[in-house]
Amino acid sequence: MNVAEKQSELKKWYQLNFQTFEQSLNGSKASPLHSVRVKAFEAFVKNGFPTPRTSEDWKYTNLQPIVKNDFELAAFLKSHQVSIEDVNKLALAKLAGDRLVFLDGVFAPILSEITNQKGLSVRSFSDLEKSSDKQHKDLLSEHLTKYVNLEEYGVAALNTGFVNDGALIEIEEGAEIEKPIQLLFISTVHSRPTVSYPRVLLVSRKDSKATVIENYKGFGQNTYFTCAVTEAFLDESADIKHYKILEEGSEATHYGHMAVVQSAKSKFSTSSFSYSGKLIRNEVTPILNGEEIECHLYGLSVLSEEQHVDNFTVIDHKKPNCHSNELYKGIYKDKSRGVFSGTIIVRPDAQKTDAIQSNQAILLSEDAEVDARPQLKIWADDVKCTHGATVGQIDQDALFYLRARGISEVQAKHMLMQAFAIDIFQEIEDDFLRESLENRFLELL
Amino acid sequence: MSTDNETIENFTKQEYKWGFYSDIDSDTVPPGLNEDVIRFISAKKEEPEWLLEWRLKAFRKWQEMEEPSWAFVKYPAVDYQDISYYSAPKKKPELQSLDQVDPELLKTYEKLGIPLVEQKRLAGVAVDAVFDSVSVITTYKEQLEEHGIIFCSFSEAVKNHPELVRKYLGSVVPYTDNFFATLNSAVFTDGSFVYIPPGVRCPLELSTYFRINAQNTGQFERTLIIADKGSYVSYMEGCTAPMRDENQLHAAVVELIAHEDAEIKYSTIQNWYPGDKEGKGGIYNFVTKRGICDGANSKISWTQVETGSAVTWKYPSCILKGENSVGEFYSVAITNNMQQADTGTKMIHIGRNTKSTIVSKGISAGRGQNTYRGQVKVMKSAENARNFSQCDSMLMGDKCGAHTFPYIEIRNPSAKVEHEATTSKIGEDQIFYCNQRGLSTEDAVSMLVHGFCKEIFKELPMEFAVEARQLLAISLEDSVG
Repeated sequence: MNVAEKQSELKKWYQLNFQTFEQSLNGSKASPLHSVRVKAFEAFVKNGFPTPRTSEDWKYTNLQPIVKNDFELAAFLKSHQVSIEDVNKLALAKLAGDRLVFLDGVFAPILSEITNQKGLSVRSFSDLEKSSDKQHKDLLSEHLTKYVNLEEYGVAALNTGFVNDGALIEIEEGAEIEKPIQLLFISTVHSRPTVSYPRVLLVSRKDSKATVIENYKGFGQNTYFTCAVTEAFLDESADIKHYKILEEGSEATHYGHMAVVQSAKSKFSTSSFSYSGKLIRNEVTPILNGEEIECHLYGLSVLSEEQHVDNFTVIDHKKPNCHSNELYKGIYKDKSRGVFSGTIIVRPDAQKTDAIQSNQAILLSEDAEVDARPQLKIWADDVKCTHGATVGQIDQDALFYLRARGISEVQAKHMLMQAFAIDIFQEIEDDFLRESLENRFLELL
Repeated sequence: MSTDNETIENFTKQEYKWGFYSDIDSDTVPPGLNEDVIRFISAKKEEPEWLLEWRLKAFRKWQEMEEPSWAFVKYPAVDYQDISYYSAPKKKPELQSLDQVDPELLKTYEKLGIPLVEQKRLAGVAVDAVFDSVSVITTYKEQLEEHGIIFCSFSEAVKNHPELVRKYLGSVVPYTDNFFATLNSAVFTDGSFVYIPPGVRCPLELSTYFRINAQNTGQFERTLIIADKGSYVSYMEGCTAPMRDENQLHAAVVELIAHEDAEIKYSTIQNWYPGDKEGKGGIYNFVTKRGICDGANSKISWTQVETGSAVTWKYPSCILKGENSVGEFYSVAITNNMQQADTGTKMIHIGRNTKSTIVSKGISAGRGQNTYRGQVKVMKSAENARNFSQCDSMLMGDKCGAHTFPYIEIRNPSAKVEHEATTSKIGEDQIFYCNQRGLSTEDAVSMLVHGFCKEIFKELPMEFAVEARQLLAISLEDSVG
């Protein structure tokens, strides 16, 4: 079978899936999501899955061998039971605040905790559908798919084609949400390869402030595909801290797309921690659509075996006087492979832009690989843009220095790697969150 | 019966429509490209059978290829069937004095500080007997021959040193390499050939300037430079004087081969016609340049100053195969008005302890678009490879663009790779400082830009460096308001 035939086979499979899925939502055709789904699925069918040959953005990551599995919609299958104990183990349990749990992309109310913090509303799409909450229903239909570019990001279109459940978070004007909002997405164990489509929509109003954590956990060694999309809208002077923790199963593929649109004076920061999964692709595409915006992107990967992580970012500076900052770090062991591709766009209008991008990798094995593609596209003259990329080993001199002081080689290496990752961790404000992520990091070394 | 005769008569009178072999004495083939055209070029140049075969293989491959569209440049599609692929050097009408030369051109010469005699030569004015360039060149030729250096046109090399050409042609840039290189392989007309024997340090800076018999090599030029064990050569290509050419598309190929302990230094100054202020009529420069450091301790260094052409598409690259070999790339690219440049390099580290350095300076003014595109690849075998890259862009005016697309691919953990890029503009305070000290804004800009490019200019051979500096100032004229 040639590539084109494979592609069309693949499309057929997803089309079939799509039809079954749409039929299963009997009676929901009146739902506003219906037309969103149909439109998005068309966009996906038009382009199909990207390949290194068809898209420069996928030069180093090939989805083809993974998506060839006949993934079935996980939500349709009977799954392994997940207990509240399991959830407590998988979640950042000590983290106070709202906790929404999704099993294979479907909201699990029994396992979730909603604390009704003032100025915050968290709803699942499925809940909302059943309720008579017109205000939030309108909010959902107004904002969903408004920020994600479905033409450009075909896999995000696939997610949107299957959108049914998800988390809607609204932070009211002036509200400061103290406790973090945790979204736990668990992929359960199935006997067949499965796919799930988690979805998050975050709307933060003027002067609001909140912390959102997306926590993706896999249960076992089954093959599955998580295809997730998060959309975030930040109104003027909103301040959002976002974290994404990826500990997917050893045979899992994770595709995550985060579309962010920022208004004037807003502050956004996201940190992703790619700790496990067979293939991970993290896309973050903030659009800076106002003046005096701050945007920070951080990422840390620790990979072993044949894991593959691809961090893909596009920061689009549209207006003057904005600041963006990117820092991605990775430690690669065994046969793992790290890809970083970061684009900074500065539009003709965006004078006085200050954009910094940095990507650093440490290779710990003969067979590990690193590919970096830091890109600048600049159309304004009064800007300051820099990017830097370094790849290397652990500094032998530093190692020798520590060894000379009686520290064992293993311990010395750990110390140096901890030092390497420290600038990512020190950005985390919540002590508990920082400690638990740092501990997990040390375990992985 | 009479009708039959008429038919036969008409038939015999009819011209042979399908070929132009009957035309073999003529100097130009009609526009279009097919196997007959290639056979014609090859026959015209009295080439051996193997070279014709090679050209045909390339042509067949080319037919299957698609023109690349990934570069960050826009230009109207080129109709490859509308180009005449062979025309013998035409004699330009000789002018009697400089008064007959386009005054614009003279003004530029003056600014570049080109001597009067030289100006005449460049403009195609008959040179008086006192300045006998031919005798100068003969002296140089003798000197080179003494050292056993072969420096001649490509066609001469095919005739006189076929074994060398056959051995090395296509060894660095195979005929299947890319759309433009493959086209060049099929239809190239002439170029330069250099061979430096083992242990010889070439006493001169070789330059196309001294190669009288290869004028008008046309749009598909082919250069092959071989530095045998322990030799050294510095080769200069192009010149600072503006070059006008009727051929809009230029697709040259340059191949460099450095054997053990050999060093090749290749410097380019390119100032082809960039088109008018609206970008009309400029030259498309789609060049494939690549060198291989084949032996241990060899070194290849590319230095380029790109100021001309409407569209530039050029990535001089190094394959670092030999142990301890070194690759360098120094580049200044200026785009003004409607010019577009997509240029950079590839450093492929294969051997152990290989080192590469990339320093690229892009200056965009007017509505120019300047792109750096480069790749650093460290293969598994390249133990202790080291790379340092620096790409700086300077923007002048708010309608231009500067873009950077580096690709870094690392397959060996002992590699040390660093990449830095910055984008900035000339500071108003810097200009103000200069103004205060009595410098005009134009001079201040020229000074600041020169400071920005200093690292590159110091890599150029002395003769070139002085001219390059002037050229920079001229290229950026009227870009600061």
